[in-house]
Amino acid sequence: MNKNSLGYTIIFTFIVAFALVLPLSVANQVTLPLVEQNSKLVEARAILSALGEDSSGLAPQKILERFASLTTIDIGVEPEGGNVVVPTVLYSARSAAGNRYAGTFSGPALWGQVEIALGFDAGVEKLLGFSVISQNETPGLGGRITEPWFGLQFKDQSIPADRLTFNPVTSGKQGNVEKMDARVDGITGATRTSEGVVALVNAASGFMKQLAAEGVLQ
Amino acid sequence: MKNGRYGQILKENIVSNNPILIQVLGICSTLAVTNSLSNTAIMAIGVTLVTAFSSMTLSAMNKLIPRKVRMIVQVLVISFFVIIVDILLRAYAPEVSKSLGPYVGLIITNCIIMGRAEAFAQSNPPLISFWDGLTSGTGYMAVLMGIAVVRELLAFGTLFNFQIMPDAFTAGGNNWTIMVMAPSAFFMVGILLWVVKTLQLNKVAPGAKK
Repeated sequence: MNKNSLGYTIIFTFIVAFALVLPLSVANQVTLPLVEQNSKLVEARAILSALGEDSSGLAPQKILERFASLTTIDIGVEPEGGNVVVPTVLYSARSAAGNRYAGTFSGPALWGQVEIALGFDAGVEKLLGFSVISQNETPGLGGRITEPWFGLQFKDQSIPADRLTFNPVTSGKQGNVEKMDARVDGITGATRTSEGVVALVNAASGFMKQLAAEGVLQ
Repeated sequence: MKNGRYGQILKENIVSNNPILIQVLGICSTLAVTNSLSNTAIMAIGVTLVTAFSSMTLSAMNKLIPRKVRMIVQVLVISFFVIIVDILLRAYAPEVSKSLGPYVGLIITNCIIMGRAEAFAQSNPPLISFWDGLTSGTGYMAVLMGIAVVRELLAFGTLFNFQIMPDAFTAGGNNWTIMVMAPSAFFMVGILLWVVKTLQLNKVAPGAKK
């Protein structure tokens, strides 16, 4: 058969595409349970961290067990939130200081949606934790929102009556460690991402305040 | 004789015909990922493996590929290996996959991979094409790692996230902000190209005035 004929070209392209897509599908299916488990583990770690629990030393199975033991609160139909997606389920844990609540929120940053887990006290006066679940920001710039120092700035941060604001540049290796000034440091060279994340935290705090006012959080 | 050719390809791809410094290919990823050594290393390993395996595969099936769909088939094969890398990272190195984000998929657009498929794999047997891809990737990796060492050290005071310089040196990335951002790699690649070109010209005509 002539290599450059239309028939050969069509058959050849079909065979090559089939031969390449088949192993990809198999590889995808084979690794799917592992990928799903990884993603569940990321969510579990993020929620526990948002609730102020340190799971870094725990085995994956223990983390999943602890996550499964959390009380869930079904909020019901997803409320309107503009660009911000709010959770339909909240996770709750008891502590000596009262109940703690955490949920996953997502909102736009520079390149796409950033999904984070945030923890709050029952009165929504303080953030208990911040953890990034997924993001598509520029690696080395906006992608630095996953670095521990960035998230730790939100831990125990008081929630202001109006909104949290951010300093456009990083002030030091630890970021802004002051917890009462309603400010966090942005990431140098990633202003839009920092802006997006802080706007998301503000929207999430507003949503949780609304739930507290409705008596959902006790 | 055969070993000599392998050695010559190694020397060419790393030094005298380096994909970045001489062929000026793969510049986008050079600018993008080199502010972090760990991201650079993963990216460069990914590009090296994809270049090697796609060159070998395309060389093996070269006689069967119709000319008019040559590039479509090349992109299909390259995409196949990139998706395999992505699947493996997501399953077995989720943290790395998370930190590299969309860059893994963008390996497909790296000009070095298609460049080697067109320039070498088309007219050479599979094994030596694999070697050519591997060494081209190594040449790419050497330059990227060199740039990343300077950028990460000046920007964050770290190497592979290990603190090397005191905090006061970087002030959280504020003292050397440009090193965090892509333009610094642009300047560094420009300076490297200038140095390499000057050395090359001196080699061709030693002592001659430029």
